[in-house]
Amino acid sequence: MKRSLSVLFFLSAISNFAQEETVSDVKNNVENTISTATDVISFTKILTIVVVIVLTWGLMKLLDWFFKNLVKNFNRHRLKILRLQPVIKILVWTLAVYTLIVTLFNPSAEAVYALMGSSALALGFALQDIVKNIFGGLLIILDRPFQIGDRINIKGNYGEVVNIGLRNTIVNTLDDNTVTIPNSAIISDSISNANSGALDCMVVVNLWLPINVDVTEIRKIVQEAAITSRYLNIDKPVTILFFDHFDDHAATKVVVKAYVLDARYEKLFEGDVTEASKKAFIEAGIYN
Amino acid sequence: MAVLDKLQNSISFLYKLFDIEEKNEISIIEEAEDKIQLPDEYLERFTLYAIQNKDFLKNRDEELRSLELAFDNWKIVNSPLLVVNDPGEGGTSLLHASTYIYPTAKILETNQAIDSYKKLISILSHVLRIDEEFKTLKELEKYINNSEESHVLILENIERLFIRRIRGFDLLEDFLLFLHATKSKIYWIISINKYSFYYLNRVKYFSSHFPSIIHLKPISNKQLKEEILNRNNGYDLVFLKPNKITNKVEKQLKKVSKEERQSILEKIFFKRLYQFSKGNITKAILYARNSAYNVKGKTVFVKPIEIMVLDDLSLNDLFILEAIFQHRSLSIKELNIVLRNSDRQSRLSIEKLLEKQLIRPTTTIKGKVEYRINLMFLDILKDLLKERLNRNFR
Repeated sequence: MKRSLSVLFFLSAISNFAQEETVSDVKNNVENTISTATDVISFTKILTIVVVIVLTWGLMKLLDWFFKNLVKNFNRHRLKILRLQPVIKILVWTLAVYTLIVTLFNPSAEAVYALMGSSALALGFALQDIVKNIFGGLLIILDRPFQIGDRINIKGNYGEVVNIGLRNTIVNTLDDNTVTIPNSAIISDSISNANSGALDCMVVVNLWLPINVDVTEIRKIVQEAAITSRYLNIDKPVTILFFDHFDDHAATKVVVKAYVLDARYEKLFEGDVTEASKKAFIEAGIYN
Repeated sequence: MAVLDKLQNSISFLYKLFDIEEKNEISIIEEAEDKIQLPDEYLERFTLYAIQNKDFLKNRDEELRSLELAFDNWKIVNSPLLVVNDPGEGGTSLLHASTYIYPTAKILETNQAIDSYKKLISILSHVLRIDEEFKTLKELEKYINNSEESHVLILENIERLFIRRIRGFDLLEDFLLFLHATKSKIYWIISINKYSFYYLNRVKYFSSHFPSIIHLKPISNKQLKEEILNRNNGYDLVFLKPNKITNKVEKQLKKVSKEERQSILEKIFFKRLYQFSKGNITKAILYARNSAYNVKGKTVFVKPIEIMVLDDLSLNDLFILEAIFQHRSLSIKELNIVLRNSDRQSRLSIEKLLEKQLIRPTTTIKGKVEYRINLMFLDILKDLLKERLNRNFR
C-alpha cells in the first residue's frame, strides 16, 4: 500500500513538474509569437499598406481621367491612346504589389524562390482559372490580337472593346449590352477584328434586287449612295460587287464595300446607304 | 475671392478626377460686352473686294508666271487649267488680275448653284455671246467646235455645279466632258475651293481632268502687315493690352517705357494676326477690322480679339459644316437634299450655327438665302473636321 502511494506521489510530482514546464513553454511561445506578430503587423506597416492602396487607386482614377481627356481632345488618335491604357495600368498594379511585398516582408532571394515554388503549386490548383485569365490578359496585351476601341467578334458577340483587364475583356455590343468575356476564353478562341487599331473600318452593305435589273444603272446609284453618305471615309475606295442568287427566288445581290469614317458609325453608314439606295431604286422604278 | 476661386477649381478638378458628376449646375450668364460703334469712314477701309489690275496684286508673282506658262501650254497642247484656293485667299483677285495675259477673257462667276442643264447652257451661251438656243450641251459643243473663234473662259467656283446626292454629279461630269470636247476652241481656267477639291478628288478623281493645277500660296507675313498698315493709313495706331496675356509679358510691360510698351503690344498684335490668318489676306483684314476697339479722331485703338474655342459642336453640326465647305454655300433646301434631313431638322441646326456665328447668310441675285462658312472660323472648323471626322484634308 505504502509502495503504491509512493509511486502515485512520484507520478503526481512528475505530472506537476511537467505541467509547470508546459505552462512556461506555452507562455514563452505566446510571448514569442506576439513579439513576432508586432514585428510583422506594426502601425507603420498598416499605414504603408493603406497609403499604397489609396495612392494606387488614386493613380488609377487619374489615369482614367487623363486618358478620357486625351481621347476627347485627340479623337483622331483615339485608338493609339487607348492602346497604352491597359499596359500602364498593369504596370502600376505590379509596382504597387511589389512595393507592398517589399515593405511588409522584405524577403530574401531564397525566401522568394521558396515561396514561389510552394505557392505556385498551391495557386495552380486553387486559382487555376484566375491565373489562366491573368496570363490570357497578359497575352492579349503583348500579342495584341485587338485593342481597346477595336470592333471584334468573339464567341458570337460583336461590338467595341471597351476595356482589357487582367481577368476579363469587356465588349460593348451594338445593342449597347456589356459583355464580359474571360481572357482565358478569348485566347483559346478565334477572333475577328474589323478595324485592327484603325479608326475606320470596312462596312459591307448587302442589297437584294430583282434578277433582271440593269446593273450599270444599279452600280451608279449604289456607288453614289455610298460616296454621298456623310459617314463615308472618303480617303478609301468604294467597291461594288454583283452576285446572282437562285436559292429560293432568283435575285441579284449587290454588295457595297466601303469604309466608314469611324467604326462607331458602322451601322449608321449601313442604314444611310441602304435608305438612299432604296429611295433611288423606287424613283428609278427598279422595284416595279 | 481668388482663394475661393482656386478652392472651387480644386474641387471641380477632384470631381472630374474621380468621375463624380457635380450636382449643382451653375448657370453663368456673362454680361454682354458693349460694342463700340466704329465710324463708317474707318470701316469702309476694310471693305473686301477683288483686285482687277495686275499692278495692285501683290505677292502673287509666282502664280502669275504659272498662269502665263499655262496659257502658252494651252496653245500647244490645249490643256485646261485648274486653280485651287481657299475662300478669302485671293483666288478671284488673281484670276481677274491675270486678264492682262488674255485680254479677251470672259469671266463666269458662279456665285449661285447651277443645278440644271438648261441653266448651265444658258449661262455658257450668254458668257460666250452666242445668240442661238441650244437644248443640250452636245449641241452647244458642236456649235463651238464648228465656229472659227477661240475663247478664254474663266469659270469660278466649279463646285457650284454639283450637289452631294445620287445623280447630283451628272451635271459636273457632263460639263467636264463638254470641257474636254471644246478645249481646242476654249482655254478653260477653272477655280475650285480647297475642300470641294479634296472631296471631288477622292470620289470622282477630279484632278485627273486637269494637267495644270495651281495651288495658291499663303501671303507672306510682311505683305500682310503692309496691307493692314495701308488700310490704316492716316490713322495713329494705339495698341491695347489683349485680354489674355502671359504673366511674363505682363511683368515685362510694367517695366518698360511707354514707347517700348507700344512696340511690344504691336508685335503681339501682328503675331496673333499671322497665327490667325495663316497667310489668308481676307482673314487678316477681318482680324484687323474686328480688333479695332475704338476710333477717336484720327487715333485707332487696337486690341487683339480672342478667338472662340469650339468644343461643343455635335456630330450633326459638323456634318452640316462639312456639307457647306464642300459646296461653298448651301440653302436650306439644298442642305435637306445633301444630308437627307427633314426641313425642320436642317432649319434648327442652321439656326444653332448662326447663333454661334460659325456660318453667315448671303442672298443671291434671285433673293435666295444661302449659308456660308464665316471666314473667322475657317481654319478652326477645318481642323475640327480633320480631327473629328477623320478627314485627311491638308
